Amino acid sequence: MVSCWAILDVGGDLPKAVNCFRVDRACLPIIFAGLLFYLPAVLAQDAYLDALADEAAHLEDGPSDTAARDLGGMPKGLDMAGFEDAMKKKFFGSYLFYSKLSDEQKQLAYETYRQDNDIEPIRKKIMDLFSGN
Amino acid sequence: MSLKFVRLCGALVLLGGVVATAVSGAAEVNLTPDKAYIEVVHGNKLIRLQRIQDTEHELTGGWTKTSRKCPPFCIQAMSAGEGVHTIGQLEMFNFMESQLRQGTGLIIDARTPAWNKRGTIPGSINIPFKVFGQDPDNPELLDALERLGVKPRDDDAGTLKLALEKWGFFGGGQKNEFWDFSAAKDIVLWCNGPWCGQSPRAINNLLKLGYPAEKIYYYRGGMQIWKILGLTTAEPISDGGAN
Repeated sequence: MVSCWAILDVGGDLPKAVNCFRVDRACLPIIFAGLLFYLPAVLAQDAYLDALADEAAHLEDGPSDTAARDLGGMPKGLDMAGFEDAMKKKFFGSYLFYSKLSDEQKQLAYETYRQDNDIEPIRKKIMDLFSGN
Repeated sequence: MSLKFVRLCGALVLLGGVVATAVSGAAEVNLTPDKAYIEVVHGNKLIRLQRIQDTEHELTGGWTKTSRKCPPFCIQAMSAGEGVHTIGQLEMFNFMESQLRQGTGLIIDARTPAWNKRGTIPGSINIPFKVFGQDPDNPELLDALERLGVKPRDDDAGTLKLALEKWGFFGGGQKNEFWDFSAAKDIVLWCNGPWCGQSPRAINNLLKLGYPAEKIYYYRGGMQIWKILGLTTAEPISDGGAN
């Protein structure tokens, strides 16, 4: 016969020979009470997740950062000093990261600008160089 | 002075204002009196965080909804836990420009992925609130905590050592039986706003794990207030956590 305390003692391992189907009938009310204790919490969590999913399904709008992407690029045809100056004035956040780059990396960022004056690829190049990619 | 002359002067002043604004590229709807925008690191790109410039713009759709059933969508307390800092938008901007940019902080969108994929606050990574309620040996929890700078204890801390740590020895106060929080990052958690319980639940579970309360910030305004202020939202970071 297995003691109910062996089952309730969560800190210790159950005896290997224990077969759950051979548990003393006296333990059943305790197991049942345990289920009653934990089940509402589990069900409440599931219900909350269901309610969240239901609310999310009613949202219609999405991200708005397309506006941020369309803010324009850098002026065309600038030399490196002009490129740095323009970026400092217009895209200071990008310039902060650019200023941390080595001279060689700065040259690579400038080459990216010469191919495309859109700020997005320039930013990406700067961030790639900054993060060592 | 004739009425025609006054009208002409008024029209010129208005036109001058429009031209000046267009030439300087200045925003009308600023983040703060002296700041039109900030740039936020979001995954591997920078996003310009600003407000919608159309002063006639109004919200439509789900974010205009006033009433949701409570429970579960109940109004949240201002404090998410003892020692946890509740912050507003300006503090969030400062966090983005300091801790987030320096890599010492993270912004966590604690909502379920279904909400996250519809737009998130720039700079945020998505760790759904339920992850922090997992068992200590759950790999999902381990991964999440590692991103926050928390390490599982790899030393065999006996009862005596644990007791001494509680008294401040061996770098105590930053460690508990399971976790080492000595390199834990400052974290901002947010969800859908004052009616949302997802980030408070996440914070509650983080505190239970032992995460230092002084490193936790609760942006209670969440996406609801972010939207009302016309602030930029972004596509979720695709790799789930380049930040």
